[in-house]
Amino acid sequence: MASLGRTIAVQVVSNLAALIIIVALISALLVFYSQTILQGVVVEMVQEFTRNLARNPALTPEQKAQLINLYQQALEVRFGLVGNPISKVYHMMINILTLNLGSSRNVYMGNSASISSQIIFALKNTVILFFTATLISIVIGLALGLYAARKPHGIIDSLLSFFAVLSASLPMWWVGMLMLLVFAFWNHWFPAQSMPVYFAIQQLSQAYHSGSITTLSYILEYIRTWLYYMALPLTTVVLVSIGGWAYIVRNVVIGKMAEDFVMTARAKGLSERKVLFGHVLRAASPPIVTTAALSLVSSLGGAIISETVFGWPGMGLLFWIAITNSEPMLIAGNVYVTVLLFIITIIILNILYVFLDPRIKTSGSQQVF
Amino acid sequence: MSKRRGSSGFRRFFSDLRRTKVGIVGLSLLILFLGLAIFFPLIGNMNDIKNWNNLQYWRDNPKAAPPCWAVGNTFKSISVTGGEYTSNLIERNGELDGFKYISYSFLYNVETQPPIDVIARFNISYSKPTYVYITMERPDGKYISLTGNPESSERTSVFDLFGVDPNSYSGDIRIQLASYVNNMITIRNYIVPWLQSNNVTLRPQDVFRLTNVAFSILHQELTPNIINAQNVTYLSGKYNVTFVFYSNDKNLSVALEKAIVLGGCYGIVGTDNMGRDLWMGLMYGIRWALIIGFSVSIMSVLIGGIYGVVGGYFGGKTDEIMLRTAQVFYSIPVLPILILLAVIFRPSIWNVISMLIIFGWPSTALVTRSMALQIKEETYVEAAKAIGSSSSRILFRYILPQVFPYLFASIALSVPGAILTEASLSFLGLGDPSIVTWGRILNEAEVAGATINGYWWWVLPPGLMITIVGMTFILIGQALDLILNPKLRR
Repeated sequence: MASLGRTIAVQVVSNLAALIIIVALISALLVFYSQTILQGVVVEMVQEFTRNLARNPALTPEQKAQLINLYQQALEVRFGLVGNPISKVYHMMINILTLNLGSSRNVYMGNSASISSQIIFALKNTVILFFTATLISIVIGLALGLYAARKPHGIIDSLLSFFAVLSASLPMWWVGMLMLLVFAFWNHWFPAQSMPVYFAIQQLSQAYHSGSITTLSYILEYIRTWLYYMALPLTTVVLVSIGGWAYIVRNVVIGKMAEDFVMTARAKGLSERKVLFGHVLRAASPPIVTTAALSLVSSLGGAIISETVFGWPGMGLLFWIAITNSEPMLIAGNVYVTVLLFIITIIILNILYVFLDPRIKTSGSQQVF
Repeated sequence: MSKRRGSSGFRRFFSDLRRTKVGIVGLSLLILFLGLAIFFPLIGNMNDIKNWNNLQYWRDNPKAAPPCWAVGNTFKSISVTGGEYTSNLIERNGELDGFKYISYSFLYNVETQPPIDVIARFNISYSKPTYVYITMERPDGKYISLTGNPESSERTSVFDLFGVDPNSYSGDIRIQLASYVNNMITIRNYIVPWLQSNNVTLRPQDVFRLTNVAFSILHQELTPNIINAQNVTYLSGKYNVTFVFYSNDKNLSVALEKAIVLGGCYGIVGTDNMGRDLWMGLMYGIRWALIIGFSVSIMSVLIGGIYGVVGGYFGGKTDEIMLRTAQVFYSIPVLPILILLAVIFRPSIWNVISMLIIFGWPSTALVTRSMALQIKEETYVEAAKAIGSSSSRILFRYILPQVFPYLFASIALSVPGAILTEASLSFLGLGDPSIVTWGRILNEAEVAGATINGYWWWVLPPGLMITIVGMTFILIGQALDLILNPKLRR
């Protein structure tokens, strides 16, 4: 048991170290990024100031030069351009790690300028879309993969393999564009942009509170509104991720079916169904659970481009908005939350792994990675 | 000796690859794409690619035109270059009332749909005031004067149409007839009077609507409510557009350079909103896709492979440090960081490729490390150690060759990811602006609102190319996997 504790402790410490290194990297990049942008702003403001000074005849050129110099220094202090870049990176790291992110210049999502609340808002939307999509594709993919693995190289299996190959090379955002083309432009079945979903929900709740619709129809209408705006992105994500997922399940299950314990189970006279669900699936569960959990978590970063294409107000779109509006802290917070969730999941998975596969309890050699 | 053995092993490897169905499909697609990439100058037009950012070069093409095979009844473009003999062009010159005149008539046949424009480019030279007269003759025998008619001694100077010096000029002039005709001044002066003379009287508010349809109305059957008609019927038959240049100058010379009667469709996959031939972009995109795919996958797999093998072989502290470093890289969300880097640094394609390599190697390293951990326990490695082989010899002679087959498969399997990531960056407008890639074409499509305007020919093919090229490498990778892991064959 001591070695189990040690395995877990090593995992946690090394993953946290990874987190800190990533945060350091992001901070360094963003400090550099904001320096370059703000330097440009200072140059512009100084030029403006110089033009204004030139209209004042009461000053001598020396006095003007001195004033410009003072103004520039004041601006550099105000924008935090003076000082040691290393200490700036350090402060930014501390701010990110403690989630002390401050506010953005504008409100991009939700109704508060606080960066944390905007990230929570976006994260909620990403969870609504991508968790649903990933769960749907996990369930369907699991069924498909198991079905294909029972008869390897049958028609279903061949079709599945082809579909897996196809979807592994499909750009998700391009599928999204096609979806918009077909279902939003040619047939006006679904909206081209998902951003108005909140407006629609707001109107709905107003109608409910004013008493014009009943509770039941409110609930039904609420779900319908979400589905109406979610339909295209949801279908896209499911369509693109299902093939690869089913293929992984198929390969893992086929691999396990060739092992001796399956032969033993069959020799005992167990039904094929019992062999598959009782023995094969249990042995195959660690890699399947790992992949499922990892795909769930990596979906939390949102698909930056797909969300941009659909205008879905999630983490991916928020990141892109932060980039286009040069909001360093918003970028940092967004990436940090994604990485944090990823690393927490990996720590949990590594612990879970120990219980799913008793062999690694002591050796600690096999890890998620 | 050893070299020959190596090559025969390689040959056997390829014959194995050919034996699987998946491998055959993958290999033949790869050869096709390699051929298209290498022989692009023979298949396509290099000038099109060189001038991709030069919008002047593309001005004679229809804008955002669908491919010709997709639209059934549309006018097919006719192009005439100067000095060429064709039945579509009549050239006359002579003298009349002391004027020297040179005229070019373009003939075209309308079956169901009219052309969308007539573009003509002339090389002209004169040193005295010069005038121009444009008429159109319709299949129903009606004439329309689109400029001042010299017979009524109402002259239109070249200045009015081409904006060049009316008294003396030598050089190129160009006209787009549709935009000239759809101009309010032309409509007031020539189109409305002509319609009235044919008993078509327009209400004032309808006159303004002519700015969109005047050129197409020239090809319609004349009915009293021509502008509000539900079903537009075009007059089929032969049309004749004539440009007459006349001047007092006996040395007036006008040479046709090129004339295009422009239809609403173009080529194999149509054009974008700048008139660029998308087919060329698609074909040329193969080159960059292969360059990006191969360089990123080969470099990152080799680096990762060697990194993992070295870590696994040496073990202990070295391994621990190397493993943790790889894990840190593995946990970095690649796309956000790439986007950030592309925003900060100028996104040249080689920068993008290097960044993809920097973030691409860890997954291979993690696998080859565990492979090396197993291989180093084999007896032949111990034997090699016992006879005093150096570490580098053991690594490169005994361990790495065992890992190579796996590396081959993962090179093939990591190509699509590299192509996809580059396409994603380009799609966000963060790619190299000087090269033509599929991601960039899709970016321009998105910026121009191609999906909400229904320009499917602009959206569909580039993504399809990304998918097919990606599939090619996955098929090859799968075939390699089947050969290397006979367990999967069953």
